[in-house]
Amino acid sequence: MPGCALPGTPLADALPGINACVHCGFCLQACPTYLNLEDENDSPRGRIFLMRSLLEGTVRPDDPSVQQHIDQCLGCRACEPVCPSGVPYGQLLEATRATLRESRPTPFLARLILFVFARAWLLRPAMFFSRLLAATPIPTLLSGVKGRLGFAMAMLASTGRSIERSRYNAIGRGERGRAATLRGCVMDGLFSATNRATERVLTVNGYAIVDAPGQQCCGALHAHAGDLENARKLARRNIAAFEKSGAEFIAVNAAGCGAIMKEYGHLLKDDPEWRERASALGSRVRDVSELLAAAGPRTGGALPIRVTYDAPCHLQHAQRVTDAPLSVLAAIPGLELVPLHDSDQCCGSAGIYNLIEPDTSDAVLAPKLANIRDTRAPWVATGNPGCLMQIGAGLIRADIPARSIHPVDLLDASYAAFGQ
Amino acid sequence: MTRTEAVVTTVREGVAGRTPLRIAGRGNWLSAGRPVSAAKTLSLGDDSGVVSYVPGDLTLTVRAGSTLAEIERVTREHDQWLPLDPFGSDDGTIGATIATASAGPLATNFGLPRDLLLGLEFVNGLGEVVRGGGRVVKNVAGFDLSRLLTGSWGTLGVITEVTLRLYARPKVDRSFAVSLEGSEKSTTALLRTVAASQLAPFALELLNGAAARSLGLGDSAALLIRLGGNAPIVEVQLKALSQVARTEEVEQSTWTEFREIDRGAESVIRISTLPTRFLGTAASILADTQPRVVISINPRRGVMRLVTSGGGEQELMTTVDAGIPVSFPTDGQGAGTSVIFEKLPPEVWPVVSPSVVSDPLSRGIKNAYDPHNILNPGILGD
Amino acid sequence: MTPPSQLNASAVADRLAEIVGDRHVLSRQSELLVYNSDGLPGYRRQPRLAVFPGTRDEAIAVVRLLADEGLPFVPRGAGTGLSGGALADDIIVVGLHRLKEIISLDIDNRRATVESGVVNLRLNKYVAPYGLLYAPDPSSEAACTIGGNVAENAGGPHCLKYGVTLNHVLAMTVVLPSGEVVDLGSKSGEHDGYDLRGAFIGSEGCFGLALEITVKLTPRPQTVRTLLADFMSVDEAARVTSAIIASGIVPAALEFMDGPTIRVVESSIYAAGYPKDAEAILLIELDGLEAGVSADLEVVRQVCVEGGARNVKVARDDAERTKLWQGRKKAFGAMGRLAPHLIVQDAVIPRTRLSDILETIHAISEKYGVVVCNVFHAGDGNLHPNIAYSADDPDESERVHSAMVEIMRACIDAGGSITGEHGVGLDKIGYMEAIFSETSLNAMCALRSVFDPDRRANPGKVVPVHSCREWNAVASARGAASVREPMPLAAEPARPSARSRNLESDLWEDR
Repeated sequence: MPGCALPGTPLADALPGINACVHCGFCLQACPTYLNLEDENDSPRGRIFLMRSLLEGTVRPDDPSVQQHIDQCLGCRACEPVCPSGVPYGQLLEATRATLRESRPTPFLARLILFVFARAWLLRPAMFFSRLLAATPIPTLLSGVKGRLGFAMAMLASTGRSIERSRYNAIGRGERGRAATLRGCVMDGLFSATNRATERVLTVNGYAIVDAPGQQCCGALHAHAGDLENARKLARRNIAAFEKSGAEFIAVNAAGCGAIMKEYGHLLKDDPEWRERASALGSRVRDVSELLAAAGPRTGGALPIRVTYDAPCHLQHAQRVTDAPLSVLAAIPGLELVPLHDSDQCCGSAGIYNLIEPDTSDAVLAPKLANIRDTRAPWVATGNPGCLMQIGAGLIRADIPARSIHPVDLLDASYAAFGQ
Repeated sequence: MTRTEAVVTTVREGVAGRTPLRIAGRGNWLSAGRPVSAAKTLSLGDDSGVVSYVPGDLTLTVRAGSTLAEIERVTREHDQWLPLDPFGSDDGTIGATIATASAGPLATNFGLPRDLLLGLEFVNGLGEVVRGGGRVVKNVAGFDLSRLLTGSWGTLGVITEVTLRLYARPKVDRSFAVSLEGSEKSTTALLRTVAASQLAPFALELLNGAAARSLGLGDSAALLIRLGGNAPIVEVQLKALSQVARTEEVEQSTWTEFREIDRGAESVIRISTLPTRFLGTAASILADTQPRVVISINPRRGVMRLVTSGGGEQELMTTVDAGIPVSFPTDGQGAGTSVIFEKLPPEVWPVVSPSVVSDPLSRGIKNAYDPHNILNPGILGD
Repeated sequence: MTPPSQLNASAVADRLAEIVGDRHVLSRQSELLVYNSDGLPGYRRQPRLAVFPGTRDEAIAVVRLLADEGLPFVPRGAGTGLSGGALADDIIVVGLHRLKEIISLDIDNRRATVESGVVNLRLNKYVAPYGLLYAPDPSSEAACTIGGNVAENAGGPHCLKYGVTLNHVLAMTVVLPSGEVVDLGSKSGEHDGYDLRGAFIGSEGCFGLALEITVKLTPRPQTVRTLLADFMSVDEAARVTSAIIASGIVPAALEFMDGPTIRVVESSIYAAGYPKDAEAILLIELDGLEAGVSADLEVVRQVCVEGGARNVKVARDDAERTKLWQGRKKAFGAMGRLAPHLIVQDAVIPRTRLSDILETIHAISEKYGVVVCNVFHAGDGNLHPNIAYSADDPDESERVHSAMVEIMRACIDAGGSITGEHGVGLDKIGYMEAIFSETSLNAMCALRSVFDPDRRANPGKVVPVHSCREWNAVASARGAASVREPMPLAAEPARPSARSRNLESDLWEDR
């Protein structure tokens, strides 16, 4: 492009991706924000056009409406699988957010959250506090309060509602290789039971669990918000930690984390020292459902419940993993899987989006809840903490008698039932 | 001087002398439509012949005065046909067929004239030569003057040339009659079965006793069906039909006779509505013995045609009565129904249907294309 | 004629916001940028305002306000058009994409009534459980709206057998540019009087806005078979196409893709398993009753083999069939992989001329040193030569545009048309005089003037203004300034891209 208005920015580097867009519009109907906000500025094609305009200089990075439309993107990447030209939208979005960050401050709430997540010493007490809070009746009491506080409380309340199961001893031969699990921050903080279940079901299915001390937050939230610097910092630490663990697979039970870790190579593409290592590590990252599906997975005891499945965007669009979670559920005898209408649509969670853009998030969530209600299933399985909490909170607040749950927890409960 | 220029000259003379023109092809259908008072007839009956025909393109461009018989003859040589069989005889011209948007039984499968027309040339009421559409099978260049002129009854322009879409002649083309002599209930049951089936007939008409009798198909109501295509497709359909009804093969000429059923008719009324309306009502309409009203129903298209000959007011009233349950159904869904008068006694027109072009858009178009109102004035009303 | 507006843009925006709500009126230049192009982004025109009514009543109120103020506007659906038809040059965009209600479905009578913003594929998914389909299937079906399809008289691969939008629309409720609401056509299918519905379809937004559209639905065929035949020469595939048509079989679709197109599709996520070394493939679909389809399938296979097909493969199941079609339907989008910019052409030729025209196109591409990807509806002779290039290279742009002009001329000379389904819009307006006489263009202008006496709906599209005799007489009597009084500029319009300037100047200079 002659006369690039933003030379040397991450966005300028992303120009080839922007140029791949031929403006065909096939992405419009795949975009949850376009369907809800009904303005092309809030569609992939429109946002790419804004990105191009930023580079052409026809709009300025400090233009508030440009910032608003870029902010309003969920980053669900539902546009990527429908794009015939293969526009790497997720990467373009990150590059844009990184570029815009330079010209304006990140909103205080987002900054605070990202600040905490980047620091293990702050994150742990924060999560501890959240966990303590979740164990009390307070979140449930406050979950009906209007606005963000109520929603946040409902999110916390939703984390304390997993399926009952007895203890069992997970025994396996480890014949499928060594796997280190990403503990994650939200998963570790609020879904630690799911993390333990993940280790148990992997063990049963022939993976030897190894420890990877020194691992950090994956950096996804930072990258999505355009804070590439901190995302890279976290990525480097994780690469080092997982390399040292000697694991053949890095098992991730949070779709958002898995997506970024698989793309560490892209994140560190300009870092000659880490580029190769990042790609190598990325190629060993698997969603837990992929590892389980590769092993069958083994059948457990009967769990006669009705379950519907909602596909996390970062699993189906970003990682293109669609069948594996279904085969996990299929391994549970007695489980009745009810199809969820528009299960491929985003739930509106999108990392910290539901806290930063509450209105759009609610609008995106509403049809999801209605569809869940229609299935009359008491359980909604989905493999990402953001989605678990977003859907879980929505169900509580809409008074729908259903709970969100990680597929791994269901498989774990099935194994527990077998043990009895 | 080309033949189009001859038309231009006549129209310009009409404009100069303010003498209205009656536009005619072979003059077969002049009794249809509202009365026209015109000093002069502009006949295109002799302006016939093929302008361009490349069989591989399956398109045909002919002068408007070409008769349907002529088109049939030319295309048959290449095993092709124009599946357009308007009521009347094959002696009618293609120009008149397009101008009046006349269709016949084959419309069941091949659509209306508007669906078969690719482009045309006409002379407007100012004596200007205008072309719309083109000679290729797909074309969206410019506003659609071809559709505008189709069914305009010569009031917007004198059609001088048309380009049509052709089809390959089917390898097999057979027709069958089913006598509907059973109870109304059994007839309705049969109609419902046929409607729900996978049958894809070229043509399908239900005839009342009067219609069946005039075709020599006996005294009871009858179903007339035409199946065409490759051998297996006709075979499988015939088999399916035979399982629900007793079929009897009839000559293809039965259709020719059927199309001439309104010869000498005093009034012809067409009622177009939602096809399902006929599922419940057809049996009783057909059974109603109206010896002098010839009724045919195309249940696929949702069209009923009522024809009376001789008589006058009484017959007309009877005809209208017969159409009432369909035109004004008790379900309150009458909005989707059109009653189209093709032919009426002259004195009845102003009462029943003074005009179908009185809306501002139609008036505006007429005024733009024929500002001096010299082309078939009054045939669609004012 | 209503007087031109005395209001400034922000006052108009306020009045529009009273009708549709603040959120659905855009007036900031930076927010209007994305509305400055459609599916053919070589053209850019910066609108002044954009308004998105959410109900039919709001749409009517918007049009009435614009009529009262004498303001010109451009209707827009999903903005997937490929002729620059939905571009608003410093005037108001009226987007109808929020009108997305499926109003009624009559299964037994096989018709549906929808609002104009309903997406084509959504209607199809909605009626599929009832064994029905809406036949026109433009390649943009996943995004384009039924209202847009009506405006453009959209086609698609399956139009070969089933016909275009024109053949599937029964009735419409339309708001004319004056704000008057009229019903066109008849839900029963037939009516007498002038075929105003037929005249409206394909009027490219110049006659008003269709708000409510009743369409015919088609029963799903009992059997569908899809064949993939590959060839080592373009000429063989072209000849086989002509031979299939001449055989009398009417395939549901008969699509052609040449080697460069095959290879770009195969490198995309819509890789369909087309043989990458082939120089052409034909995608042939037959449908109908099982017995008839099987017989025709053998005939078609025979014609392909005799015509030099290397392989003829029949899709085994729906999944494989869908894959074959996805590759075809997304081919145009996939060309974004080749170069940053793309010209998509649309022309029609008589089907017997396919082989020699393709040869001509090849010669033209060699002459100008450009790569033409041919992917098109061969069965009805509807060509889509596409050229991927970089608009940043002035020399390349020049060559590309010269090649396109020459290709169009070859199609016109062969007795063809300048557009089969994309519409005239801005892109083809320069060619209209090459295929229509002055009196014909004037007749079109006259028709437009009946629907829109003030020329406020989509001005400057379809028919070149200078060829409109009456209009020019009226305009000169009033003084040219009164034809369109532009609102005072609030901001600098976007600078047109290098390629849009090139493209237009080529067309206009070419006349």
